[in-house]
Amino acid sequence: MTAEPIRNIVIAGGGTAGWMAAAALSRLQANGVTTVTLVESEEIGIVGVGEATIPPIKTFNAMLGIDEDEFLKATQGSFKLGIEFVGWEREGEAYFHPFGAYGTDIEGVKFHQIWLKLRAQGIPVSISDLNLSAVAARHNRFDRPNGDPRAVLSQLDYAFHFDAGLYAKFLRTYSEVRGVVRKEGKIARVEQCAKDGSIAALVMEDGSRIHGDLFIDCTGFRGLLIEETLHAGYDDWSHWLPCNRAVTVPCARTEPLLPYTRSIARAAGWQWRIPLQHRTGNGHVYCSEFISDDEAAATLLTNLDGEALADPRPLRFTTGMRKRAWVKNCVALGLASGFMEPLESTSIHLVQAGISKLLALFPDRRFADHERDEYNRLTAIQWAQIRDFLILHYKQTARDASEFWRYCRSMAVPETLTRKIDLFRSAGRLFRYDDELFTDTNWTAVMIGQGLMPQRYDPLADSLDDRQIRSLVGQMGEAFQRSARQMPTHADFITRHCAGSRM
Amino acid sequence: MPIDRIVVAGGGIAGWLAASMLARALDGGTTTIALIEASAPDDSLGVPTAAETLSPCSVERSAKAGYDENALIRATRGTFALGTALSGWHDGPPGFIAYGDIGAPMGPVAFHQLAARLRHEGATVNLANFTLAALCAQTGRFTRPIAGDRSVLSTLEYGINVETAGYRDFLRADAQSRGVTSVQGHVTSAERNASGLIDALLTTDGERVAGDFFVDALGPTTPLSGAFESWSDLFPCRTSQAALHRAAEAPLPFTHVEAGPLGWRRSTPLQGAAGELSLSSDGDTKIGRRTAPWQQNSVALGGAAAVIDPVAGTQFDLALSAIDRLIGLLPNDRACAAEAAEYNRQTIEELDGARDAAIMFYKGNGRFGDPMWDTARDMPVPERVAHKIALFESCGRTALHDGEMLDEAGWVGLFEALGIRARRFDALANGIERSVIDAHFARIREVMLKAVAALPAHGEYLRAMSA
Repeated sequence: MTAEPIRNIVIAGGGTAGWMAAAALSRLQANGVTTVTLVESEEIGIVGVGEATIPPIKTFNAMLGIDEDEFLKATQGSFKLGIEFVGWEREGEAYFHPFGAYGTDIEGVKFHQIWLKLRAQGIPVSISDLNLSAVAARHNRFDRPNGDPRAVLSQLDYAFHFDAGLYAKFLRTYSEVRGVVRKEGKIARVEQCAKDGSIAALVMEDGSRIHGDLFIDCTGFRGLLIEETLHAGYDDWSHWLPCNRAVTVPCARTEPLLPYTRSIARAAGWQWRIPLQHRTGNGHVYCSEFISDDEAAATLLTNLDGEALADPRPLRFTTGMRKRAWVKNCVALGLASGFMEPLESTSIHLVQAGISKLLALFPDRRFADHERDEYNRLTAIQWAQIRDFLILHYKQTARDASEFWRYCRSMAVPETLTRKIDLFRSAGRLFRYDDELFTDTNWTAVMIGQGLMPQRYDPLADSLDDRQIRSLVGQMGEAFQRSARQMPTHADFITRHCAGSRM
Repeated sequence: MPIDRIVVAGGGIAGWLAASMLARALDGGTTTIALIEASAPDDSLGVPTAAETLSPCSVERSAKAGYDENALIRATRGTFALGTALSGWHDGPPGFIAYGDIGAPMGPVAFHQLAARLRHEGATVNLANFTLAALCAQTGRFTRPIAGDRSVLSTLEYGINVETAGYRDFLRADAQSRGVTSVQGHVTSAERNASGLIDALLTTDGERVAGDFFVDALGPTTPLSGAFESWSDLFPCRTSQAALHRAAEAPLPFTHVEAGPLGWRRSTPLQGAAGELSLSSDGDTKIGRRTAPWQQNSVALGGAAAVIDPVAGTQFDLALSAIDRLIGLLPNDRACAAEAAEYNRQTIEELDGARDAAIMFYKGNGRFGDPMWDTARDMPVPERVAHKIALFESCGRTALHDGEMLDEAGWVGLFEALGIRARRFDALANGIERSVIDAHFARIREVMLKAVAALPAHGEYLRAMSA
């Protein structure tokens, strides 16, 4: 049985992924055998894989026992009710991709089908009026659901925006308090076992060796362990997601403090805007084949709504994933495991999901193939699902004024996505596969937002009484309006509960 | 062309289930439904049976569709089902595959992982002793959980055992009361238009039954066949026998499946009767599934879509789930390629998952010395099954696939009942103090035993229902 438990877990690289892993794995030390060591160098900057998150981050915080207000104070964090996509369907149009469900299903008929039926009858209801997070976002308001499932407020769902650098710092303190050892220094080389090629130790620049049974590669894009040493291989997805560069810059906070991320389509990519307490995070993601770096930086700087607080920072990437995120005794997390642009704020989630899979399939020193195979199988499924969701934003659009968008509109997409699009186009149907991260709400919001309107609604909706559904939907919209108006503004809520120190 | 008329071919339980469910779903609309039936032994689910079991998931589906559960039980000599007792599958004591959760987790650590640690430290732990449905079954007690109740009893999950013929009649009456019409006759062939769409079905009596959309519930020998993927080399038992016996004693709230040298037999308790089904080696039952159950404007359901060894008792559940899926994807036009593709994808996943579960009963057997069972243990199995067994044996985790009817607790229960054990356990289970785990186990057992002791006997509960 557990005759050979893992003794030393070595995490190579700090940053968001490394410290998330350290914080979560620290609990394994309770067996008295396992230790966790994290190696990082202050000379190497962190990319900060994402500053916006999605609702499952709350589960990660809960697993660590982190108090939400303390966490927001420490990271200058704010609340996020969804993403506003500006100009994605066509120039001049915007839609909101909210968290939480649209309405509620009636007699087994999906709510968006009821909405489609009303629409077919010529009754003008905006689907955004039927999601509480979207309604609250429009009013720049926020309140935390109090756990009462009968309250209208329980329909609200949320995630956070935070400063990724401060988040790593926060988790570092959390981890060190729980016995994780941090070693400062640069890794000079990686030593492999002569017998099977697995990783034996990290050799530091000062000549010291850090031995481990299990290594977590959080060294970023290069993948010092997983790729440079173990040659996991990389699946390049740039033909589907052609953006390959970004330029980022923080700017001064503006009022009102928005409780959502904004994503604005640009001629050769898109720009993000992430509101934090102490500043606003901005970035321009683009494809270098269609725009020069200078033009891209200029586009970003002319489209800031506050004073720039630093010089723009460039970033290069190739969208795709490691063919195997777990090879021998090494598991890659964060950018070392692959990269997808932060269009739907999935970077931190992928780290979190990797950690929980690793815990669920935690190996012993014999490293059986089965756990590794299962980890890689589940990881590949999850990455491909998120990939498809991102591709949808580019493929399904009426934007055609620039070469970049003309390419995206006409590109071939994975068969798994084509199937989803065809099925939705036919009668608005959606299916969730393999515990897929994105729900019907997510797909509905983006499909309809991007202009993919079903040709007809589900015939089952015809069994519902028209007058009844009209009145139910009317009441729902009013209840959401009332509930939103009773919420404090986002800024007030933060002042009251989780204001960070002035910076 | 819109779907104005749906024709169901086959008057067995699968056909009437489809007709009744469709009539309920389309209530209030303008679509009409006709069914073609002929008197013949009912093999519409695949292997003919005298009794079937609705899993908790099917019970929920049935309630959601609006069927009155008490009326269903009255019409079918119905009894409640808490799981399946397995005997003769290995040398050890009989096992029990219960519905519902096993024990309760401690934080992120599953109960069976905690149990694995205690076993590793030398303790004897029987998971069934910490499973509410198993404890109820052991003592022959039952009650339906009360909505809104916050006690441990609210976690009890139950299925329902039914007499197959009684259930078919119940569904037929329901369908007819909702306007489904029926035509007598054996379907011989389909009349197709130039693009291959079915316009009408033809019967031996020369009837021509026209429609826009067709449901094929004609069982394994359907004449509306398509390509078939054979699984016969995975299942050694291909002769079946079904019978209904009278039984005087009070029914037990579970089914019993017993393995013997040449096959297995299931006994399904009903009120005043027991449905017996036995399968034995050899024979010529064709096992496998259609490669595409939904083609153009026709969907094959039940035995017409697949025949799987019924050892896991899921024949009815598979048919109901397929009809539910069909209703969810019901087209409103005869051109429905996107819907058909999706239906086939999901249905195939579910059928393959059911095949995998059934294989486990053979591949995972511990009957050494019986040639049939020895051969089954050594047979090559699909890669997914091999991976599932290897992963569980390695670390107690279950590789789950989309569409499988069993969830993690279901697979763990099956492995446990078959005597398959994991070599090690969840790393997080190590960090918990032994005394804390012991206290957790003792508390669960105490709470469950106390709850079970207060319940009525299953027979008494049924009597009180019919009073």
